[in-house]
Amino acid sequence: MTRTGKVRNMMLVEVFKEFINVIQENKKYTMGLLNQDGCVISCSKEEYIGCHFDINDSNSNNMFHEIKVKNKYYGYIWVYGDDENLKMISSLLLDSLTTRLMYEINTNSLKQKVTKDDELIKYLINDEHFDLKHILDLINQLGVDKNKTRVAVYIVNNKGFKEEEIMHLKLKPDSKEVIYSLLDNNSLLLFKDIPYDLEIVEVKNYFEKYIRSLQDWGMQGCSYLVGSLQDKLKQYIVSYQNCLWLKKNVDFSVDEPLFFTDYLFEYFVSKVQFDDVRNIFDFYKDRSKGIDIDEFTNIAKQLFMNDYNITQTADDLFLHKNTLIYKLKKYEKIFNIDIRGSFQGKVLMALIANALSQYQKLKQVGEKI
Amino acid sequence: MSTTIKLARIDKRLLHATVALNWTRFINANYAVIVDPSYNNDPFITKVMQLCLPEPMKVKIFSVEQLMAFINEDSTKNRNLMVIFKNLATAKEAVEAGFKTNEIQIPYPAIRIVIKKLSVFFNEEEIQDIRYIQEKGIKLFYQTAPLDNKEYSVFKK
Repeated sequence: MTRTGKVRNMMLVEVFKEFINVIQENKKYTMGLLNQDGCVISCSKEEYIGCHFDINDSNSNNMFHEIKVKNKYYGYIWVYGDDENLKMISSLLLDSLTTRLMYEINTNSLKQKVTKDDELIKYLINDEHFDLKHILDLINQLGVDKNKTRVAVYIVNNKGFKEEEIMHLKLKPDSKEVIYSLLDNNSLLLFKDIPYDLEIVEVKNYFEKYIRSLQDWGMQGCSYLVGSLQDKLKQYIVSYQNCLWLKKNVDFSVDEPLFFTDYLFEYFVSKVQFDDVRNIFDFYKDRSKGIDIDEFTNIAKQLFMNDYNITQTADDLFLHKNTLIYKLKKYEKIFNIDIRGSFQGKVLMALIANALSQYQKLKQVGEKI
Repeated sequence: MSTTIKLARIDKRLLHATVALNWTRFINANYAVIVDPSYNNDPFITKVMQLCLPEPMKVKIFSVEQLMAFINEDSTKNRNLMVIFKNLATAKEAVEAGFKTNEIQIPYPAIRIVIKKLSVFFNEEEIQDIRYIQEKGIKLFYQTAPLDNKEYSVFKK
């Protein structure tokens, strides 16, 4: 017998024990599991174990049914009873047993697939070594398309995911090409594919719908961080890192997806070494002692969000327009930049605001700057 | 916490393999609720049905009244229900009793010939039940397994 065959027979015996427990509660019936030769290998009455039966001899008190699951034979069940419902009960028991065995077999193969997904994700997000050979091998085994464009979706559930439930995500109709893994009890990473013909402008809408479908499926109370589009396996890690950047740098709330592509400017600003900005503007920092740094960063952020429209920004900040202009003039003077008049001045304001806000954070944790 | 109807289906074979294996996991249900007044008082049958699916999946066999009481009771955990009615008459009775869902699934007939008229597959009484359910704003459609197409058109005729 093959190893798979042995495992399945062990599974049958284990599952059959549950059936025995139920049958033993009902004194009207006796139920046995027979091997292919008609020998009882498990029974609700132990004294029958080892007895042989002629499986062709079904009669009003003894029913024999062959156990066939996915075109494989697993012996017979024997149900004894002095009861007019025996035929119906024995059929029901057979149906329940075969259904349960199929369930267990499917669960096992699902577990194997999920284990492979876990392994694949481990390789894909390894930032020290990209092992293409292993990755392609796993992709082959999983039967997913390596050429699809995918996006990392990092899902956080503070209450913790149920492993069993996450395993069933594989069966969701639109998740056939999804590669996913539980990174820890609270974090699920998936690389979701997009259709080949999806227009780029439709991507956000597509993911909003997909995330809604995950919520309907049962993933409520989670936060969803969506990375960048990637069509090369080697770049999947970038999409994942985008999600981590969102997690670290942007406030997110439950059930509202956050898209990395909405934060590209902030992302690139954050990539400018704040030490560089500090070194260059250090002189001005000392001169800026008179300004409220929180207010400055807040104004810079709001101006950016409003495309540097001063009237709108003043409205949003509940300031008079002239007050805002007064403050901007003050910043222009302190940092010697042209915020209102030039594009470069606007970019520099964003960089200074980022550097000053980093100063604030370091100060708050007690670091000497 | 809430009780959500993830799938409502009319299937005289009740919790057979297609339903138990494919649908429960596909829709992420944690309760398979069979609505069949002829079985609901037999604890032995309920236990045998429960054996189809391992814990934490739960199998319940209810009458229509028990179903409604179960749906309406407060629960401390999220209950995702797959409800299987024994027949159209039981489904109609549940709708009469206030059962709410957007649509009810019926498995395709065994021979999938082009379905043109309801009267080929349903008797007059069943067609009346179908119309009653539809009047309550619930759509009916054919679908057997999860990857089958949903076929609504025949029920609109």
